[in-house]
Amino acid sequence: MAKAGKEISVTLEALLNGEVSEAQVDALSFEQALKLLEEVVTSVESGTLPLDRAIGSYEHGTSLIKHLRKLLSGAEEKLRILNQA
Amino acid sequence: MATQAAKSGDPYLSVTEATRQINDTFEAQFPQLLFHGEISQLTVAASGHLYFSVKDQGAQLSCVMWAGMARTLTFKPAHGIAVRVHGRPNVYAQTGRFQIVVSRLLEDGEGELQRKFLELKDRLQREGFFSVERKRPLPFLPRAVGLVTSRTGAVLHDMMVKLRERFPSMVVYLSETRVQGDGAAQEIATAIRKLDESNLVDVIIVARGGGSLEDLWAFNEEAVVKAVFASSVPVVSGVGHETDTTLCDFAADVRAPTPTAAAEMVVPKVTDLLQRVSELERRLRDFDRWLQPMTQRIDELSLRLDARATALLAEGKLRIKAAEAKLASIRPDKVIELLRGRVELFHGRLYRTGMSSADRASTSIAQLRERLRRAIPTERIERHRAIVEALEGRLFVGVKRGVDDAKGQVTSLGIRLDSINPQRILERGYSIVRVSGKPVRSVDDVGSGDSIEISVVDGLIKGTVTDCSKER
Repeated sequence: MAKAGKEISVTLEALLNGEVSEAQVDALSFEQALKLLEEVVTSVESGTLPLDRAIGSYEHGTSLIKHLRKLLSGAEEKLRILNQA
Repeated sequence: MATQAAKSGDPYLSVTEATRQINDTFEAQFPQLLFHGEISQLTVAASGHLYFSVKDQGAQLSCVMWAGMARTLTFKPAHGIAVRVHGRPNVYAQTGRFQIVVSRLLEDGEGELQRKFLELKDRLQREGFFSVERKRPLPFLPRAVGLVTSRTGAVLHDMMVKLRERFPSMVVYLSETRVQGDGAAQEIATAIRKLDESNLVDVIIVARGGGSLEDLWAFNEEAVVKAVFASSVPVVSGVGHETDTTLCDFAADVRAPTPTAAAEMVVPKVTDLLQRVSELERRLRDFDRWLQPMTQRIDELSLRLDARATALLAEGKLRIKAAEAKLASIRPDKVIELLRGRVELFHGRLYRTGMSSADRASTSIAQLRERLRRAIPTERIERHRAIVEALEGRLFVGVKRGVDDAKGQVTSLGIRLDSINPQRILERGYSIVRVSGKPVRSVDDVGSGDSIEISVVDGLIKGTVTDCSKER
């Protein structure tokens, strides 16, 4: 995440404007996706969004939840040994 | 022996001389004797001198340390402590006791290492390797965790158990290294560097189980400190037990008391995260909750809209009334009637279409007024009337002046007329003499015997001419 070039910045604004592809959402780190989801939920709850945007937010929120769950799931990892080259 | 004894007389030395010779020999042979062993039979004399033995399995040596030296000791000597001794052998003449007069006493191993540790710590601190400003926060959820430790032993196992317990699907890379012994520090440094360069992990744990200062020494070496410092991802140090402190701990971004605690620090509990996501999901799906402020806002807006509409209608009515009043004040009546009709029409439309129509209506009224104003040439009439009035004024002035002039003339003419009025002459005593009705101007006009009439002011005198002469 901290590696150069790995950081993907997606703003709530861009997400709600439909400028963020599914692939971009899938590339988000857990922390970024969680922060975005929190923003989506908060803005939806504030009631300040126009209805169409609120409905859009609901859809984006759902895809973020899917992505977050995917990051948390997965089979138990085995220890990988870094080769002693 | 006999010869020697004979030469110098008595071959037997005095005890004192024998002791002196022994001590001289010791002095020459062992100007400084270095040995190590364990302290036993320690006595601290009232004078402050230390009396003790240093022994190992096979032998023991009596030692004395004079009070002046003893005061400079950096540790407290005690039974069982391993020490390194600098001293010289000596036979104490008074008692004949063989002893080592100790000039320097060092705590063995640990003591030396401790000093080395402190010196290195001071230097690396000065060089900025432990700077607090440089410490980085740990990632919220790393993609993968890197471990730098030994493949054998309980430490790796304990950490893996903890990591799986918290986050079962966490990817863990082990960068194997020896953690003790010659060259271990270099190996540890290389292992850290390899993990960092692999770009596979977002955090590195450097770990080792508990042990003596000597066991943990590799983690105090400069090579390890520098590798930890140079890492581009945050490093957690979990070396030894809670009470053990290594320079690796100081250089790391976070110091964990134990390897297991380090494992706990680098990954969150997956159950906590799932709970957080579920909570957000519940809130997102709670339509009622997020629609509620919206419906409330709609209600609020519709109330405001009603109020606004009422206000606009009232305002519209007022404007129409004002327009009517204005129209009423405009003549001619026919146009007013016509406009009234139009206003009625707009009035109706205004009620039907609301505020924007009110604006339009008032605009139309304004336009009609303008057209009306142009249609009725009041201005032109006014202008002409003004011209006429001006002309009238001028005419009046002109005529008045003419009359006045005439009056003056008449008066002066009257005066002049008066002056020639015969009546006036008669009044002044003159008489008019007429003959046959003709005024007599000359003597020649009459002859003797002519009847004449003499007009005086108050009557007529009749007479007869008796004489005529040109002489007065």
